[in-house]
Amino acid sequence: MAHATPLPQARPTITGVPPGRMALWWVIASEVVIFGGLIASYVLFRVRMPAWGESARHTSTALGAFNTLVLLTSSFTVVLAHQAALQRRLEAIRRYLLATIALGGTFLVVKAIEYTTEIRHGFTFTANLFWSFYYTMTGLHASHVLAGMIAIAIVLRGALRGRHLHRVELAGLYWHFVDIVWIFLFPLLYLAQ
Amino acid sequence: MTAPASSDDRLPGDYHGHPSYVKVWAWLVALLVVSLGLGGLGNHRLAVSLIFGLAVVKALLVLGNFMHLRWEPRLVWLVAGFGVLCIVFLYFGVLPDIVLVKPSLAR
Repeated sequence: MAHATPLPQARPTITGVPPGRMALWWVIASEVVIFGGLIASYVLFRVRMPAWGESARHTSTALGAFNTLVLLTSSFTVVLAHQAALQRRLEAIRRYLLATIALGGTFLVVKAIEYTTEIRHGFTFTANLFWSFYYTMTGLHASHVLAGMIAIAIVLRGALRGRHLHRVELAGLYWHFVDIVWIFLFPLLYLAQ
Repeated sequence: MTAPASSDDRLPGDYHGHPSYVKVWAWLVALLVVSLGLGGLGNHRLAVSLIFGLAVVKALLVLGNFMHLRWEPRLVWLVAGFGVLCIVFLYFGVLPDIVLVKPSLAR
């Protein structure tokens, strides 16, 4: 087993929560407002216009479900990386973080396939309000997946040298949030037809 | 999966419990499968309600166990809940305009 420098001792804070973790929760709170605002607006329009259910029939439930499974599994691998970081097991951190990045990549590839199919069938961003919401919400979410993959890759680079292992948890917190957003987008856009 | 670190080996920032992550993941996958099955229910309104109820349960499983919110102090709960509270205000603030507006204006 490779040896790493110990995790940095958390400085005592008034809150009792390590500063990095607290900062991440604030980031998540601000992201909740962004995604929550979009989702609430979508639901309000949907309540008023049930005909949107017809448009939702054209999204691929199979691909959406597969992507949900992929993201749930990536949350599992990233929490295992966090656990490995607490135990300073560098090889396990590397394995789990690489798996998380690969699963994030898989999600984006499947999403690209979906977009291609939908656009070929004429369901573009301007087709109607449902598709405008669909592309805005899933596109914003996909950009967060990409950002999460980049953040995890940066954390992985340091972790391989045994440095900044506490950042594995912080990257994981962000990744779990991205997973939770998808947990709500999937039924909204794919299942509620 | 490896065993969690013993309490003696804990670092100052690691006051979290470490549940069986495999079990949590298995529950999440099982709930996903149930959600997919609910699409076949005859009662559309009931199906949609159950599907969103299960989505909330899945989100709470991730929040509580993977993000370890269960072990965080109240302050973190307040921070996490702040965004949700904003959305609740937005939703119920706008809802009357959506529900009460004339149908011709909604098209």
